[in-house]
Amino acid sequence: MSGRGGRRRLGRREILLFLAVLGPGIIVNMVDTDAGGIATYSVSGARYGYNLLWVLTVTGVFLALIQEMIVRLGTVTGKGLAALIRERFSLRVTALVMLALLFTNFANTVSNFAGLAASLQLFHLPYLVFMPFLAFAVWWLVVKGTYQRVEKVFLVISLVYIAYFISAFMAGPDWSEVGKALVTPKFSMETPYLVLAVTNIGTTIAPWMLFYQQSSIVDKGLDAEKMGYERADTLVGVFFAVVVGMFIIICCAAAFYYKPGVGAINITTAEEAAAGLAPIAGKYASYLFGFGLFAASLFAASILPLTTAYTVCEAFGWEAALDRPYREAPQFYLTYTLFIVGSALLVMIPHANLVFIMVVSQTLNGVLLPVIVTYMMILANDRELMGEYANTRRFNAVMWMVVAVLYVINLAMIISTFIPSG
Amino acid sequence: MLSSVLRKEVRDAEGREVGHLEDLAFDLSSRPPVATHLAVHLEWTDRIGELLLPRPVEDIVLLLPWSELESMEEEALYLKHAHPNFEVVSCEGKTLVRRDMLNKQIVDEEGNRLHRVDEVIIKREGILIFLEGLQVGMEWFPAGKRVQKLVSRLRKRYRRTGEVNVIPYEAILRVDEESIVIGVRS
Repeated sequence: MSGRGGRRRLGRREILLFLAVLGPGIIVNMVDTDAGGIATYSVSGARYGYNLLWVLTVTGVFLALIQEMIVRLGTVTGKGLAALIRERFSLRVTALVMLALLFTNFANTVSNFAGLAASLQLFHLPYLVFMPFLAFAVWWLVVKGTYQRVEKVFLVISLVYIAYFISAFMAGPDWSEVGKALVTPKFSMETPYLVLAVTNIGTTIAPWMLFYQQSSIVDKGLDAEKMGYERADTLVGVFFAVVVGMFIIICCAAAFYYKPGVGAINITTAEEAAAGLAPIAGKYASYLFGFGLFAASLFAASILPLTTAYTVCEAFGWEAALDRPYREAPQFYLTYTLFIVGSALLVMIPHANLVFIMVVSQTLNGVLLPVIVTYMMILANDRELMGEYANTRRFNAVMWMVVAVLYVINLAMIISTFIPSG
Repeated sequence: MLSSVLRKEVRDAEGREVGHLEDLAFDLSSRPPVATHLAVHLEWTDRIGELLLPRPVEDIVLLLPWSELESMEEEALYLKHAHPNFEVVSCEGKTLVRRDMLNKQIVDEEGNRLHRVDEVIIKREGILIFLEGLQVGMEWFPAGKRVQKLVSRLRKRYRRTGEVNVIPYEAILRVDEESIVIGVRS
């Protein structure tokens, strides 16, 4: 009896610990499904049906492996990734990485503000009127709240991704076909198919998320003892991010690709997908999809400037904390505010070339990701830094293959950006 | 600057290249802090002192006392003894500037983050090396106004002229694992 009671107590304690640790892994993976991600998944489903679902399964494995390393680096060293890069490499390397990250993250923030504007238009709301209020709300929520409160708000916002599950069910997919596509890789040497497959991986694994997750692990004070719980948090986050991506593909595939007479629309953006859903799955499915886009964009538009501000300050040793006044952390607040104000203003400029910014951001993301993962590999193999938690030989063998694939994939993505396949 | 001496070739008494200079240990309690040990990176060795190892080891860093240094030339540092007969000491309790100071976070007594160490400024006098201070900000990447003001206040306090973005060594209170604590209160 006592043994059983003991086990039950331990179980409850573990669950409580897991709930306390919960956050960094789930939030980072949910934010990753931003306006750009939703657009990519929508186009994948609309153009190739369920054929690209397997790519997300592979992406999920890559993401889990990379994030596991982040969990170890964060919990063992108690330092953010930017700090570790700075301490292990040099100021010049750090400055270059930070410059690329600043530009990439800014462009990503702009694309999320563009997503916000598009979703407002879906609900027939004038975005020029609402955009300044939303930008202020995003700024205020983070600047005036504590990290714990902000994290709770973000965790609650994560629930809106359920909208995509409902939209997918309303689009009426053939679930047996979905099941088959999940486990049966379909290869095609068609360039647009390859480009889209590569883009799916590229949009799901972004450099900013690595910096964000490690910083928030450190911020939460998670150490090596809680590594197991944080690994679980990350796995839950990766699972949901991949499942949300899959449901967006399923929704658009069922609504457009498999109903060629009704939904023969050449989808290129998330808002086109949301609008196109109405005649096929009903206006509520369309609204839900649009609401998902709104929430995802809002979520990412808050997190991206925040993580950029934290990362840059950490790299250069500047004070960065939400509970500090402006005079004590000017670089932190300036970066955060400039990102939000700049992005909102760019989106509000009529005929601004946002597509160019997004293309450049995606390209830079592609260049930066394998480089960052390579730095992570060097750090995670440093016994002086990681001790017994350094990468094992087996893990290294798998990870170097992942890194090689990332280099090839991103090279292909960059080439495809500049040499359109037609 | 520290970067100007790091990676310098290290040769033994017979003129053979044994490795390169990887780091310097300083005695922070002396005024000014003086370099007391050299961390020499050996590509490989099969011996440490008189000990013959079962098999050669690669990529090893040995800490040698300053007394092992014969001369410091432009092209290389020369040791007094031939490899492997130099004295090797434990690095326990030593403060190595590259490992423990360069790129590290600088905080004040209250733990407020100020900047990272962008360069360690050293001064050579004959065969000795002294610590001048910690550089914050580079020509191409200056420190923020708040830190610049603080550094200039510290420089006035310790009567320094010349380099304006170097925190004088006297301001260093201690070197912790996570950060370098400097005294800003007057």
